[in-house]
Amino acid sequence: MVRRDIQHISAIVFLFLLILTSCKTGTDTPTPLAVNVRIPIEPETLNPLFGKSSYVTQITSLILLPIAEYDPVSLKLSPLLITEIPAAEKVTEGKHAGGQRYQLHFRPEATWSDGKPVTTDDYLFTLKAIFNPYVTAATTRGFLNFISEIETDPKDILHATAYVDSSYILALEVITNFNLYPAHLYDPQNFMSKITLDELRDPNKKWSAEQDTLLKQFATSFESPHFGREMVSGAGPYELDNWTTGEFIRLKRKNNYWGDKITNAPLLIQAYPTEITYKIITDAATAEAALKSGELDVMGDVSPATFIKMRADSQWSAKFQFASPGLLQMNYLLLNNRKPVLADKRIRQALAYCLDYDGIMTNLLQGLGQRNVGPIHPSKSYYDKDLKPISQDINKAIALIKDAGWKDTNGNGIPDKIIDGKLQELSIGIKITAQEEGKAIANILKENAKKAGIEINIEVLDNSQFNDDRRQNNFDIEPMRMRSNPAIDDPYQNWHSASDKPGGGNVSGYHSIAADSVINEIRTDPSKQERDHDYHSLQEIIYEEQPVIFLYVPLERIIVSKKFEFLSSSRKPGYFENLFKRAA
Amino acid sequence: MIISFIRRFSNAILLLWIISIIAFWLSKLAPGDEVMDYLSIDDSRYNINSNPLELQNAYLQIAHRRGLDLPMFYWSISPGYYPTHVNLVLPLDERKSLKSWIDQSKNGNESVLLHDQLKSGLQIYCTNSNSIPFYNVLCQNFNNALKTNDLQLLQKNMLSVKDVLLKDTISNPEITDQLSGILTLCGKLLQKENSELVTTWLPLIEWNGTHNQYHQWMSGLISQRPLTSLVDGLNAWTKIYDALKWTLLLNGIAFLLAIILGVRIGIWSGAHDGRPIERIVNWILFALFALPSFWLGTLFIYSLTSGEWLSIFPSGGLGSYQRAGSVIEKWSILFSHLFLPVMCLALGALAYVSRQMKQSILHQLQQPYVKALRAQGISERTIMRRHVIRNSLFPVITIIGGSVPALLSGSLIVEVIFSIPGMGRLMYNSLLAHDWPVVFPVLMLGAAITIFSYVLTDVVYKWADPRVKTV
Repeated sequence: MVRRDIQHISAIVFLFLLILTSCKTGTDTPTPLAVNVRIPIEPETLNPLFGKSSYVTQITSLILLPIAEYDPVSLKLSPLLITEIPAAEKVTEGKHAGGQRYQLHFRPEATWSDGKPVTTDDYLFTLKAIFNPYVTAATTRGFLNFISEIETDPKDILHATAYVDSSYILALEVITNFNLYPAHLYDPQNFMSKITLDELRDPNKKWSAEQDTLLKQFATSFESPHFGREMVSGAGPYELDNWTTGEFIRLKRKNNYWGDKITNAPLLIQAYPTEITYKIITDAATAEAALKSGELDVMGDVSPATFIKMRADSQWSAKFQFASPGLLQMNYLLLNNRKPVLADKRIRQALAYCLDYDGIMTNLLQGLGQRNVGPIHPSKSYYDKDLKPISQDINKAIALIKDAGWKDTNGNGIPDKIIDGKLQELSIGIKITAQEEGKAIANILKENAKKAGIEINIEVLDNSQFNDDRRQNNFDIEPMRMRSNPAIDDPYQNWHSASDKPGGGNVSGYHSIAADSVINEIRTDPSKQERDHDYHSLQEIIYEEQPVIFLYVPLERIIVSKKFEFLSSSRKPGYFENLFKRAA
Repeated sequence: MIISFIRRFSNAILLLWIISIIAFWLSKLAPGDEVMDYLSIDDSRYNINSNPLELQNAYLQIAHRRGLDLPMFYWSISPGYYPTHVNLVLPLDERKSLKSWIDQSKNGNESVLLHDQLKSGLQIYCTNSNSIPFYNVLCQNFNNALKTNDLQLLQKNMLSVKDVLLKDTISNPEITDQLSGILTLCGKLLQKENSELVTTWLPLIEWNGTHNQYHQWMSGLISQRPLTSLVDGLNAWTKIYDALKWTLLLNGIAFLLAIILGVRIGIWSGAHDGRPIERIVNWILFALFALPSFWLGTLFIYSLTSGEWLSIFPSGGLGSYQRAGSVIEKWSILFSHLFLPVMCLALGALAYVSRQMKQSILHQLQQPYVKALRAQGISERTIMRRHVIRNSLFPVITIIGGSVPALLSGSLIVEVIFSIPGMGRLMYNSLLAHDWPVVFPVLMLGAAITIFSYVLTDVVYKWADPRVKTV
């Protein structure tokens, strides 16, 4: 009997101890200024050249710096590792005659983590690393191909001259806007110094066996987890402190950071928090709970419903700040203009008139978005404000369908037409993934289009199949989003007929001689006034043709603890961790 | 007994081998092109100026790294009119086009010839597309042609390229000759009477030897050669070990709690069946059993962690246990983070175990041997302890045997809700990323443990009750 009692008492004591130890313990040891940020997906690497998710860019932008980057406030290129943004100089003689030249002067204060100076050798090394044919950076190479030569100054390790052969509008961005790697840390055996950039860029170059081995060895090492997860080093204010797989990534501010010595330092090289922890929390409800309980300080990409609800609740509005800057992103319905039905602009216009945009803005986005008319983001100075966003007009849609020769001849309620000798119903498919936003838009389209007689069939696909079908042009409609950036827009990739090719960006298959001609002008226009005029013309053409249906520009939803002062921006992710300060 | 065990063991090995083949084939049926997914970057800037040849080289490099340039299995079977090695053509969209040309024309050799000519054109024109005028146009057109499934469309496109070239004064005879050669081939392929129909009905069986994708993967798995994750380049076994330790800890505690408490509650319920207090407990257990774990998890998170009602537990993850000063502090942090997920998993299981145990106790209590024991004047307590409980343990053995695989395979929903980096989350993320070097070992580990735990359960059955016959 006594033994039984002892057993019961032990069990109760064990349970009590278990619950006692299980209750919330003190969180992290307080540090001078620590910021906890939620990320829903774990980055696969912290080598920005090979990372796919936007979180790789978000985290590595604090570790590795480009020589110039778009300022979060002015959205203009700001010099980070160079003393000033170089001006374009016309080249009149020599092998680059007709092109442009940029003088790059590196900051003498800028150093790597080990205190060694950032020099033009590192700049050249980074380009060589990217152009190494065994490094899987083919798409980045495509962008950097505009650089025709880099000339380093043998007398000054901080001075280089970059040449661009054509007067391309993004030339300055191409030269300055890629992350720099420290040559002595990423290539300690100096493999890449034995090969020149010109050799690497020569498509007919035949490598000797020794060179081939060196290139392969470097590529294997450069892409290895060592440089992706352990030795992640750059000229930025932070370095990797701890990456515990599946749990968190912690950055700590460098001791003796060079940026502290710069007076009036650009925003992106300033750094206030001593520690930034990215907590990997997949589930949105758990992340919301962690934010409310104080385990998180910052949460971006909050669902519109949660954002609105928390902002309206006095309990949470007393503890948190709510920011909703306009994102540099445009959501649209991608239409396959190659399909016989959608090749007729009247059908594309009819679809555009079917949609209940007000319903989308109110119900789906809870008002956290704005309409746009075409491929230019509304924040850009050359956005055409005279064009009015299309509103729902079912009668106009019906008239357009009729005008295009569609009529219900077989009495099934769906207009039809003979195309290439075959009876074709006005039935269009929309392919979506399991993503909620796409599902909602597809359902709205289906419901709205039905009012004009158009049948919409929804097909839900796995991500990989969804992307593959788009690459193979095997789709009618797909809901998509288009990332914009603060740079001047180059519409060539998405709207020029020459980009309608396998792997090209003109996925809609839009062909217009007028648009092509305007795009060619934009790419080489030397004057801003003329370029702006051409941008307006392009927007008018696309507005009229509706090769895709532009839906909205979403507003970012960011919640930040009132413990901090922070700066919101339309640049992704909408906040800048390095600029977080303790609230007064 | 030993012979039976050996027989069961060999059957288990055979079953595992069959599972490995099915898993491998299912992975090959996954939609999309994993290499293109890997190469795509969601930034239109990075597609400007992209040279098709350069992209193709990058594709082949990644495909080689993933072993996708090898035949799939020890042998391959294709229609008789297919030339050998068509299934090795990469990129995948080019293989698809080539197969489509062969299917349209039933002329394998000429289709391969057309593919080779287009490929050699791509090599020449794309290599020099920046330096020689019109080469860029040819480069893009040859690239388009290689990815065009419809032969008629291909012929039409190449004809228009040739027409443009002929009008252009910069064209040279070599290029026009090459285009004429391609057009002649297209013409031949479209004339179906030339097709090699004789071999149409005979399948082509090719022996690929051991240098195939399945063999490479299987031998890598058996020899524990470093299997590298395609996503982050880490060793797959290291990733599995890291995830397994959390899953074992989480599920192990939940499992022990469920078994220990469940059996005790089941015995008590069986012994006190029908009493009001037992009915209440029974009702609560039924409710717990009916609650889905994701709902319970979300309820816990919302009400006990966020401060909406209470904020006494951390909301997810494993906390900063690495910064703990002592072992006690470390385990205290871990327990505080694991308490709610353990409860989520244990409560449902506890309800299930106790209900099974209760039913079994009630069944045993109605057996004649219990009446005989009672007639002999043996006390209820002794009957329960020495006879009824032992005989009632059968369902618990079954539950334990069936739960071992779940212990290791993880609980995806609970791991996602509570941000625990366990096996469920690893498997889910790896599947979404087509990270086969991680998916296969996890899958095979799960399959092996499931099969062997059932073999062991049979052995334990026999030990617990010698009346169980060996089949």
